Amino acid sequence: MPTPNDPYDDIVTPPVPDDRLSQLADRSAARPSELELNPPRHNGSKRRHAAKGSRSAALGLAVVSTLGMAAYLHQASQSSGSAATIASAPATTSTKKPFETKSLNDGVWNGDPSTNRWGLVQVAITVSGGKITAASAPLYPSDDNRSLSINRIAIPKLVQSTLTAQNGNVNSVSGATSTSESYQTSLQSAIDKSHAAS
Amino acid sequence: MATGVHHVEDVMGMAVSIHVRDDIDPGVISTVVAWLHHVDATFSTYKMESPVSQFGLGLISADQLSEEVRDVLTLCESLREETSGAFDIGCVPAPNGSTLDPSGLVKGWSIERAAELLEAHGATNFCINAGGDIALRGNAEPDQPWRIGIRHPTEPLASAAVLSLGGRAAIATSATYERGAHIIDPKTGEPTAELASVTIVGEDLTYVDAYATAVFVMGLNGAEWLLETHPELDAFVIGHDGLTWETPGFNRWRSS
Repeated sequence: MPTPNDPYDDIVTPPVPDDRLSQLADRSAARPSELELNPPRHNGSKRRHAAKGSRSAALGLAVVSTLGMAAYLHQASQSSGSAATIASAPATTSTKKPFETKSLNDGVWNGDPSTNRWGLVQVAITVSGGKITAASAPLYPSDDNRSLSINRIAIPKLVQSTLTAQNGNVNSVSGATSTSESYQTSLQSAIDKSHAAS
Repeated sequence: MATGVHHVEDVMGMAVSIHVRDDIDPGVISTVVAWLHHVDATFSTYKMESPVSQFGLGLISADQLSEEVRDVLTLCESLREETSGAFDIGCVPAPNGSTLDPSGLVKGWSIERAAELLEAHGATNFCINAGGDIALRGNAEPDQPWRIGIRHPTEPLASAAVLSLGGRAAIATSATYERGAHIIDPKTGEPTAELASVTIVGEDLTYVDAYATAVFVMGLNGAEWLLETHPELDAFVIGHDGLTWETPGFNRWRSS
């Protein structure tokens, strides 16, 4: 039992090798030879466009969370036995399209209203061509800030607008001023100079 | 006229502007500057002798790293997993010849630690800007929050938005409007091109900076992902076509 005057307090425990960091080292060490062995492919290759790749990755995330909601829906409206059908569907389909499922029928499906720890919720999904094309929450708790933030998660929406230039006085500037050289020609540099002069 | 201390330090290959509005001992600035140079010596991928370079080149093993370096690299790995590889410090060639480059996290992390150092020495109103990534506290003037401009992608001396940030705040912008600058998509090894700039607003620059990079790589869907997974953060995204997208909470930061 350590006491306030524990004489071993100052002894530093030797660091335990961290598997994750070792893997990181292996990964980064292996890369240069991989690059040599596999020179960049030409335009005709099947390499996906950067934006497309990230788009489908993000889509994958969205589908995972929607599937979670589908499983919940099923559970809320029918027996718990069939909920497992939807939840396990991704594992039984081909590895190329892990999230495709044949268990969904077209239409708008309302989950039964259900009380969770934040209040009364109901979710609805629109299925078209066997895929979830929309999800909403017709009923949701709205009593406190916590619920509001949950609603925001349930129905995320970015606000679109058109870029305009602002020329007001600012104290500091956020931007990708990555080098000392580019700093010299930046608005931030002018701000710093004006302070140095005052 | 503003009182306080102003200092610009050229360190980690960029300019770090420190604006303190309190009348603190100027020696505190030296402490912060010494910290930034320590970070540079430890994490720089331009210095072959830095522990991070040595580790990236396989010359030392993970258990030879200091707790500080291990913590930062472990955090980088957590972020890689969380962002499905959009934030990845282990796959793009670094100046030292390895492919381990934690600079994308070290910048935000070290500036957040610098802010904590200033706080520990009694500063309550300050703004640290490291190459456009900002950690701030308190106000710029009594009862007047800091006015922070987000650089317009095509007009370097104009702002795309002006925000009022006070209390504890962090803001970082990921963009490639500078000549020769680029951000690589770890999954393809090619520069990302979908967005012109991504700005994230939150409290801790360590994460704000990393998520700005991750969302920039993921593209517009990344902003939606952030909205779902991190409702405590706000994002402002500018496309090449002059359209902008923002999280519903972003508007509250705009300066009136």
